[in-house]
Amino acid sequence: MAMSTNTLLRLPRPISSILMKTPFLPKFHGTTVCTIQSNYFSTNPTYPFQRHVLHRCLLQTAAQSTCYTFPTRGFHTSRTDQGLEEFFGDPKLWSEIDIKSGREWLVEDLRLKDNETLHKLWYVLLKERNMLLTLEAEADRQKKHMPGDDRLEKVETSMKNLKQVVQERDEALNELQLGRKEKHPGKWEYSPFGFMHYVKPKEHLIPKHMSKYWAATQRQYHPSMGRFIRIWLEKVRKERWRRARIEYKRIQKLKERFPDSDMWEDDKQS
Amino acid sequence: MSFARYAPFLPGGPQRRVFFPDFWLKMVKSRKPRPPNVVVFHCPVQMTKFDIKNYLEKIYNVPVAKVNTTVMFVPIFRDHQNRRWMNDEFKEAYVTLGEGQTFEFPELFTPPENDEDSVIEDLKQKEKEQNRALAARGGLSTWFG
Repeated sequence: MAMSTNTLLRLPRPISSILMKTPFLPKFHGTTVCTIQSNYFSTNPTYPFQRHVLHRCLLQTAAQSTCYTFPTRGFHTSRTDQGLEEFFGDPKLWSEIDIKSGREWLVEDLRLKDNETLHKLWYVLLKERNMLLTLEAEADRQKKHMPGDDRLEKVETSMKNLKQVVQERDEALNELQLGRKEKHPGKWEYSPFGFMHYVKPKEHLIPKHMSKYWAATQRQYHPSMGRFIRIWLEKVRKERWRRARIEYKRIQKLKERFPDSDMWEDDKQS
Repeated sequence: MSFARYAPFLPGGPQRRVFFPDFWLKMVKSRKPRPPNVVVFHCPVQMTKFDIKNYLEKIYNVPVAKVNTTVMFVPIFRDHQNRRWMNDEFKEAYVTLGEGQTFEFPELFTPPENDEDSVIEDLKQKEKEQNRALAARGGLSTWFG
């Protein structure tokens, strides 16, 4: 998900950001998703919906249900048999003017939790966010104030923190197994114009050595670009010299103005 | 904005899963009358019909028969400096419920029982009684003794 931008930020955005495709905009790379999946849950895939698991637990005896044991104490999920009414929450709160709520889930709280608990909590937060969005849309339609509108931001931050905790564990596992944080690291490559730049890893359905499309998109750095790079480097060097010259002149002026300062005592002695 | 998607390729060909789906889905009241088994949702543009069906069936346990979608037109507007702005795009989904289920959009923000008018009348009644008590004392207020 990589919650780079706030999904719930309902402020309008400038049209220029849509039309102009600047290189600074973050692009989607599916690798983060891939690492989370393959490392984190590959050893112990769990069924993400509690209702089915619960039923089995209740029907089976304790000895039979060893593979479905999970901690539920102190943890409450909303009932899944409510169906579409979950989009509206508790009917008692519909006529409330102001709804008070506690704080969000901090990273410190979530670090203490089990992987499985975090997975359940994600779905609780997802449903809560959908409920609040529905409430907000209905309030906008009726032109009324949304009660407890701070909850939306809190849920969003909780989801962000949960993602962070999952990523931390993923990175720790990668460092143990591979000795680096990223499972698929990028690499430094020459662009066709001769500049070094970092290339992010990207998922491909067809392997590189089998893909004609990938081979067609590759453009190599031609050595004839060397003269342009030489000219550019000269420009950079001149700019650097200019900066150094300005700094030198500034210090000379300061020396004339404050000759007795202890800043340049060492220069005088030598 | 990017959402968690299935990995295009995984070695071994396991069933593809997204463990932390971050699609949002909000129910809205439909602008015109529809059959009772049709519910209207707003969702991100990147969400497909299959995504919506799976989302509702797996997370909310709601049987879905059919999903129709349209990407809505979001108009560009200008502010006082003549800059052009645009709200976020969204997709509208018309979900037909399965298994003979129906759903009616509830009325949120129902006014409470003791509304403002009754409160104002009570206050007026109190003020009248106070004035009557004051007149009985000959206009002298209570602090005078």
